[in-house]
Amino acid sequence: MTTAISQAPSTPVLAATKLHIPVLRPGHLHRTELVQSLLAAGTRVTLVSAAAGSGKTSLLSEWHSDPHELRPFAWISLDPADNDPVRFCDGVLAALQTIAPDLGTSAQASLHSPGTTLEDHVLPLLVNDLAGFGEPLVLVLDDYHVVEEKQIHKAIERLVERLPPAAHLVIATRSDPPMPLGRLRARGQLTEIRAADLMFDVAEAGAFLNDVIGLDLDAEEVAQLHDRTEGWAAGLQLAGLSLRGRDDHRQFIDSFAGDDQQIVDYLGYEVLDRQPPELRDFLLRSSVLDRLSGPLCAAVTGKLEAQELLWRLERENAFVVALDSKREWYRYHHLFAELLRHELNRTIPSRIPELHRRASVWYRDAGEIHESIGHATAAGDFGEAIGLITTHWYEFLQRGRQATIAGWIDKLPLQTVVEDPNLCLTKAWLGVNTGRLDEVERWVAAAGRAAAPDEAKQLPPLESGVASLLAIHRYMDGNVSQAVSAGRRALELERGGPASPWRPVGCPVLGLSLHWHGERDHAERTLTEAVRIAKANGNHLAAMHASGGLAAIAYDRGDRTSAGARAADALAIAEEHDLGEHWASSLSLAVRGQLLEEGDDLDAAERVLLRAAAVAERGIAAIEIAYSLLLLCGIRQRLGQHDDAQRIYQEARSAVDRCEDPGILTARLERAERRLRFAAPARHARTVDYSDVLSDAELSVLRLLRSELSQREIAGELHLSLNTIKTHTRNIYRKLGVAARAEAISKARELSLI
Amino acid sequence: MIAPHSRQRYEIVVRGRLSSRYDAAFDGAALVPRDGQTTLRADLADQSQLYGLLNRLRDFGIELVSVNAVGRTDDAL
Repeated sequence: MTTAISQAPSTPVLAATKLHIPVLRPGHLHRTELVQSLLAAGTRVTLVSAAAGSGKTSLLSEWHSDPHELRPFAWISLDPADNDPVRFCDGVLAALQTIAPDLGTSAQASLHSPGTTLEDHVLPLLVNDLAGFGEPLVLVLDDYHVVEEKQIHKAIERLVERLPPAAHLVIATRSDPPMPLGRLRARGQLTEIRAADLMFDVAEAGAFLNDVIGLDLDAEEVAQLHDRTEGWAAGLQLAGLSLRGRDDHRQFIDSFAGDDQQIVDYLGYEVLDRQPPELRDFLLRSSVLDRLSGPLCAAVTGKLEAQELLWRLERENAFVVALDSKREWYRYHHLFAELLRHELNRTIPSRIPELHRRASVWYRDAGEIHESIGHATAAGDFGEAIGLITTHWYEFLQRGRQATIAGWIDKLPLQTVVEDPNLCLTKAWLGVNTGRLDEVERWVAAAGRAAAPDEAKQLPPLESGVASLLAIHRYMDGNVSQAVSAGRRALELERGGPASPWRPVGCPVLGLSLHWHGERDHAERTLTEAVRIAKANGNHLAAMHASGGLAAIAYDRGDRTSAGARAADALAIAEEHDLGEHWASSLSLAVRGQLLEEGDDLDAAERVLLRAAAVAERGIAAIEIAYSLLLLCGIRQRLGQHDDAQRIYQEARSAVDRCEDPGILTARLERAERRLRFAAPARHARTVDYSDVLSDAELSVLRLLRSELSQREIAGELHLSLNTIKTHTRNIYRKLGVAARAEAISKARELSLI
Repeated sequence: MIAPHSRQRYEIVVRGRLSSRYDAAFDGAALVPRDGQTTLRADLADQSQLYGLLNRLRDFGIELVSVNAVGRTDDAL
């Protein structure tokens, strides 16, 4: 078994279709009044909320192409896969970068680090990036109703509150988003276009039917159709298509107007049933696809002329929407797609798995793994889905896409998951990455059970995989002796057999555990090997972490040159692969900080060590948190900030206390304590550039600390949890080197932070 | 793996008459058209199934008139 721990997943083609701003068709019916009101709106947010088929997207697209609109648009068409917060945010940033390539880069750097949340980390950076950009722009989130993930709703709500004046946010949706719209309305910050606004009036309906569709209806016929559809765009569109090519307009309109059948039910099937059998069949079969291209449709439907059919549908103004300007990718109108899928389900359900299977193969060959897994699962081809997940989950994990991986696995039947040891281990990994150690335990046990009956099934990799995971689990838990024994067992199990796919990640953890366990030489050998394997596998995270460990060992040995070089290696990897916000970069920062401190560049050392502690705290590895805090404590002491050093010492101590076996950290803690006890009291504090050090979120908390508000009230004001406020407050105190609120305020005033 | 549990019966009234083509479309809901409206009668496990069904109606462009819980069914699945 090999894992393709290859390049990060690249989905340039599909990703680009999501950012394409739909182009108006020739003969599009202009909604001049609505566009005028959008142009004139000086609000922060525009909400376009109306039923499917109301013409929301067309309106926004017309607005975008209006010559009076000078702002650039960043556009993203959301789909259900965007419920992964990281994917969502990646998409939004990619949309913004169609305006300016470096817009949002600092938000992007923080996005792929586990432990960061959209709301607390990425969003404040994005707000800063937008404010720094300074130019007016419009960000459109189309099809926002597909979003269910609460993290995303929260983040958007906060974005709305803090949007820089030059930026304008547009949300187009079938259901109002869960945010306090009432407050925005009351403050006059919301422009709303709703169903009633989008309804065509009689004149518009006539212009559409006669000029756009090319019918020749009299006023009474237009009035009848307008009355029956109530000016609903999709209803008029379907009516137009039904009437095209018919001679008996009058009769058709009379019977439609006189019927009480639901509009799509009546007209949709009328249109569908009138298509030539060949085309109808094509429409039904290709409806399993969310996006359509000629080659993909040909593979799925078996119709070689698929490309021509798509072009014809586009020319005839029927059913499809172009997703790029090259006429390669299309999708069906949402409403029509629902109808086609339902009809497919009703008429030839037995064919559906085969259609999905073909789509899965096509996407797999095209390198679009997410789509391939989705279709394999929909086909009921769980073996194929499992194979794809096993091969590709790690590359997605490296990009922070835990939610996507979890989504793949959660769509499989539970029984299938618990019977597959690799999936169980993947679930366990997700637990490690999200800090759910109870989950890790459960899934590691399940993996063991799943492996037992089938001994022929690549036993060495699996057993060693379980042992590697246990090692990581123990390491995170702060039990270095058990981490060492689990790690060693993993290596032993592999002896003579194929290397386990877990090795690139298990090896650094064994090396680091050995280091904290005091076995320096073993640690160095293991980590050197770990760096080699990780680099060979393109596992940047593991390479960075292991290099950081080597730097720490070299430093402890007194080899400053090698320590500096190793730390620089690690930080270069971090820089190149956006891992600078990952907790595993803390070790190399800690070593760099110590080297700076030795060179007497105390201010720089303090900044770097503060950062080492800040990123370590995003992870759950208490050992690395304690290590960086002890170093920070040391430098604060040298800077004469005695109280502050004391407080940081207490934090370090509680981190060490959380560890079942903290290894050599116990001795370090004692040393720090002795140093503190004999240290002279503070003489003078040195200045530090706090504006770099306090995060945007912390600054907003700091501003509210000036008021009379309680922490709970501050939490309410900022729409954050009380716990988050407490964490921010604690960090503010620590960073400012103060112990109380009043002190924080006076210190902040002194530093002109507020 | 799913324990038998009671289900809630809902009557969801939508605008327009829905044809029998939609018989299987909405979580097995039975369709009863009357007076230009259609009542969908569905036995659902919980609220999230209900919201799923309402979203599906929304995605078909169907207009909602009312939703009522009308009683429990205690039969196992």
